[in-house]
Amino acid sequence: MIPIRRLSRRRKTTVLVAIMSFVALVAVGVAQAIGSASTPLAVRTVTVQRAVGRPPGLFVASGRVEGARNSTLAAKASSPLSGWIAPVAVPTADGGQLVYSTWRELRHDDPKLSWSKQGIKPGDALATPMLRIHDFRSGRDKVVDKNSFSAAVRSDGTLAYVRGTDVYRAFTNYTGDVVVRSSLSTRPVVWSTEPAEYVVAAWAGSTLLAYRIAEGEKLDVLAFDGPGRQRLLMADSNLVAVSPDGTQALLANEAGMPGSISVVNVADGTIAATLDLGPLNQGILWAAYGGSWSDDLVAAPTNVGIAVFGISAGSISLEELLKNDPGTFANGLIEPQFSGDTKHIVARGDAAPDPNAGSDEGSTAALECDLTSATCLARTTEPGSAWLHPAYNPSRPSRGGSS
Amino acid sequence: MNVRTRLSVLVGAAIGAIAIAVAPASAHGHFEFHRTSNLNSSLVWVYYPGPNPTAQYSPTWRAGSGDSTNCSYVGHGWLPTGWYDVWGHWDHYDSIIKGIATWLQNKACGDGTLRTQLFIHSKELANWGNSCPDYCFRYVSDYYSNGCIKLSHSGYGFPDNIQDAHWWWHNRDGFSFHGSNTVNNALYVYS
Repeated sequence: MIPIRRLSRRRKTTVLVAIMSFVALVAVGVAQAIGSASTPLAVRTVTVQRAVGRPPGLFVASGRVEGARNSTLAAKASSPLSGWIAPVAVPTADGGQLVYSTWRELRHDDPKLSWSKQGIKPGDALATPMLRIHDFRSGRDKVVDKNSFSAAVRSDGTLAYVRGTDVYRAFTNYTGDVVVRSSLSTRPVVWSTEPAEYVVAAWAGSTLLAYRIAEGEKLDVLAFDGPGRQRLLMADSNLVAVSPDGTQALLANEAGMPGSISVVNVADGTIAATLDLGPLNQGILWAAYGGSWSDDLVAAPTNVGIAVFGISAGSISLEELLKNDPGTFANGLIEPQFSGDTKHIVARGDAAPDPNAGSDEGSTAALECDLTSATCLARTTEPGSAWLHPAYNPSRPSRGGSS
Repeated sequence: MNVRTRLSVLVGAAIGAIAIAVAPASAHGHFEFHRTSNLNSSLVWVYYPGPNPTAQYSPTWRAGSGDSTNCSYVGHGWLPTGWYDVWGHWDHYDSIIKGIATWLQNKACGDGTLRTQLFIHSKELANWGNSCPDYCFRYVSDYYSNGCIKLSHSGYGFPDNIQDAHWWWHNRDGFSFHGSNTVNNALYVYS
């Protein structure tokens, strides 16, 4: 072997580049292997193809239901008070009915203008939400409760939602109570201890999970075990998904950036496992609500795309990362729901608004994604105001399928 | 005054009237936030001193908003575009948000999703001190927010931009009150 000092400058450079390349390859290999010891982490950028035909799963948009069922709703499913913190439309466990949030303006509010410029004064009534239930067989569509939104439907039909203390008014926080009904023929029972800005999210067994929106739009995940039995499950967090048996929840903590995700035992709030997102070195800063848990895998929306996490006793690992292509859906791949198996998901892709339009309204596409090929078929595209969203039931245990 | 001079005065008065009509009717200043990125957008105070209809500007401060550019992503997206009224302004706010805080009206994104409980604030204690990690400004990532407009605070190498913006709000055709109070058109957010 020739000592390095006796090599020419050109050869030294070649050796140096080779060493650096080897080190870089080892580093990449280590980073890719972070997913788990047995399976390499698959990181790919999604390819989106246009397609025709009905998407799998269930979607709502512009007052219609599309996908596995086709139907016309009595009103557009939309939930301005919660966005997609919780699903805007929730099928019952047998799939025969759909509980959905609607929104009725009492006075038009132009978002380009301030309230004062529109003559809107503190306390003026602006809008009211309303929960409705649609029966796919009969086509009947009726009101669940006035001034209500964000439903969680348990497998036995028990319904939970937020019932407002007043309509939505200018310069007033919209507060309400979390109420539960064993059926539509029974009266709502208040479970929350005091009115607040709640959003009901999902049942985890007999425990109801809900959000409380606080100053700065800080989201706290709460657990309700019965009337007046309310506890904080995790502050400053998002509910990604509930485990298939309903005993655990995957929560994304946002107190720091990058954040972390934790498997939390719903019964007592203890943490079974935590994964810090920063050390994954994939640019993941946060995971968010609207994910899906099937078998031992969780599909979670993140700032870079859809992450699939493996959940096992005492540990969480990143298994796959389907990176978003900013050229197609710059505003994210959202609400990923496993569809049929853990290799296919339905989701939403949000395109950025036209920067010259002077509006925040982008467009949304219904996506059917194959995790194996990292390909998504975009079947339907709607303007944001159509409220195109997957209709899914995040409560567990479920009876027959996750979406 | 000859005809030419009279004409010049008339034209000058007309131009002045038009310019005054363009300026906010309140004669108060307002903040302008230009959304560029979640970590590196900008905030500036705009005001119209005295009868001068020409806009004057404060220094521009780096500001953050959200951790996603999807406005409708509640708890993540940056705040919606348009004019905002303000619900109140505090020097020593002491709740989840602390310190200098300006509470913004609710506003809808393009699809109608409402963004609520948003403020202009920093990461500081109510007495303007620091308490890490929740109430100190140490890293660039501290510009991230759930949707609020975030300015830097001093103590860990960042300028005290929240204090600077606060000074302009009070001293350059701004507002002297503290506490709950409605202020019209106090912020405009550009896309």
